[in-house]
Amino acid sequence: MIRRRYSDVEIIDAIRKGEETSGMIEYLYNKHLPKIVQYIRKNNGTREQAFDIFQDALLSLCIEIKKNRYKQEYELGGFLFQICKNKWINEAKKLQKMLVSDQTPEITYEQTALDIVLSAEKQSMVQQALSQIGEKCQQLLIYSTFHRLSMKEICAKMGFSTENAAKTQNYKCKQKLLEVIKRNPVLYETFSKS
Amino acid sequence: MNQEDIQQYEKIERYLRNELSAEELEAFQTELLKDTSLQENVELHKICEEILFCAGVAELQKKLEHQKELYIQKQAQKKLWLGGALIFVGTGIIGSIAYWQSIQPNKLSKDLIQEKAISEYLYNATDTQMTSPQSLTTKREISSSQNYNKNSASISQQNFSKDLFAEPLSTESRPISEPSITSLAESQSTPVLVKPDIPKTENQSTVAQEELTSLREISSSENPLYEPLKSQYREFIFAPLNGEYWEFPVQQEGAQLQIFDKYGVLVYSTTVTGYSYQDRWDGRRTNGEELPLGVYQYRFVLLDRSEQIGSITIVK
Repeated sequence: MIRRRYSDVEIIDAIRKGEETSGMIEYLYNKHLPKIVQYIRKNNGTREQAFDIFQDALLSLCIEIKKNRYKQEYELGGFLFQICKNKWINEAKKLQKMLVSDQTPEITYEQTALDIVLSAEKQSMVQQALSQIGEKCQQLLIYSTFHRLSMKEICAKMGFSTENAAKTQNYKCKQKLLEVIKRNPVLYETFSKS
Repeated sequence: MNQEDIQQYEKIERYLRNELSAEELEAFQTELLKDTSLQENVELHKICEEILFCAGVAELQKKLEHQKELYIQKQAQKKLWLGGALIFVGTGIIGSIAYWQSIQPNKLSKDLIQEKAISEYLYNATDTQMTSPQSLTTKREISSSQNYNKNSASISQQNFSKDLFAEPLSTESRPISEPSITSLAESQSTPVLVKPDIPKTENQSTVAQEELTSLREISSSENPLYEPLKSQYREFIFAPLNGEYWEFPVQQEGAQLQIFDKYGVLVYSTTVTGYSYQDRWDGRRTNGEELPLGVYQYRFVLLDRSEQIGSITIVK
């Protein structure tokens, strides 16, 4: 079994474009997970907890890259390790609090971007909103807005004949979604706050 | 849809992506301050982006979750492989060790069998040599006792019985066994002592001879020449290196023990004391040297001069 090696730049570019392959993520797992498992086990954690933390860290990394907050100077391994470390410290604090008082676990630690983005409530709202515009629109908007793909790339991926067709389709989908948001004040409220 | 809307939409998109040039940005911001509908539109777009971002992250999360499971599976597979390989190697090693150990005793036993065959052959050879002088001595005894018979009328009980017994035996050169002598002596003792007349003794002697021939027949049918020796020939095996001792099969006090190696050289000799902690051999020479593995012959010479022989095998 020959494993390809990937450079940090390669991986980051792939994530930015939403084209990360399973090979890349496996490579990240193989390369960076052992260190993190070692760290977490040293600090009273289990192997399974380390796996969860690492997965969260990968997601955080993706978000950072998507939001253009990841700087090219960062060293990928060090960045991941730092995220994991912070996450584990938070986790440990949470666990300690839970041990001390079971009734109302005060959330004193800083909520990470992930926690804000992915509360279950929001998740269901998003799902509901997106289900109203159709699957194809959904996919198209995710490509254009989340992955920031160019119209040319979207053409290739979605099978549009011309760039213009993709552009108009994208505009239409966007308008649909805007309509949905307008009609849903609860959705508007929750997302305008953040 | 009108052109203005599309233009505005594109501008908002570019604004949110920070793609506007400095001039455009300034113009847009001043417009944004004035126009509330534009503000609302921008806000809507922001929310739109936010929602799409959420969706994208959810998608990513699913992907990563899947990847994690794959990784865990692969790890488990690796462990399985490793475990399998370990078991394979382990069985291989154990098997080879077992194989070696099964071979080596075989070699040893083959050697031992050969040695035993040689020593048995040697033993038989020495035995025939040893019997011939014995037969000679019995013949001498017979001749002397015959002289005695002629010379003196009153014959001592023992000599008489010995003489009678020895005469037929001597022709076949057979060693005398003690119990038969004594039994004969008992049966003979009373008539001889009461009436030591010559004709009577002749009668007695014929009776005794008849009895003897019957005895001889029994003994020859049951115990041919080497048969008693071979049945007495016992084989022992012990491992002195493991701290084992060979307990003497003879407990008679004062009996002599001699142990010979395969060349017939005396390597150990002692006297039986009758105490179990002394009546044992640790596989060493008399001077304390360790003896090599192999077959050794032993001989006990009992107080009545009878012998017990056999082999003692030293193993690892």
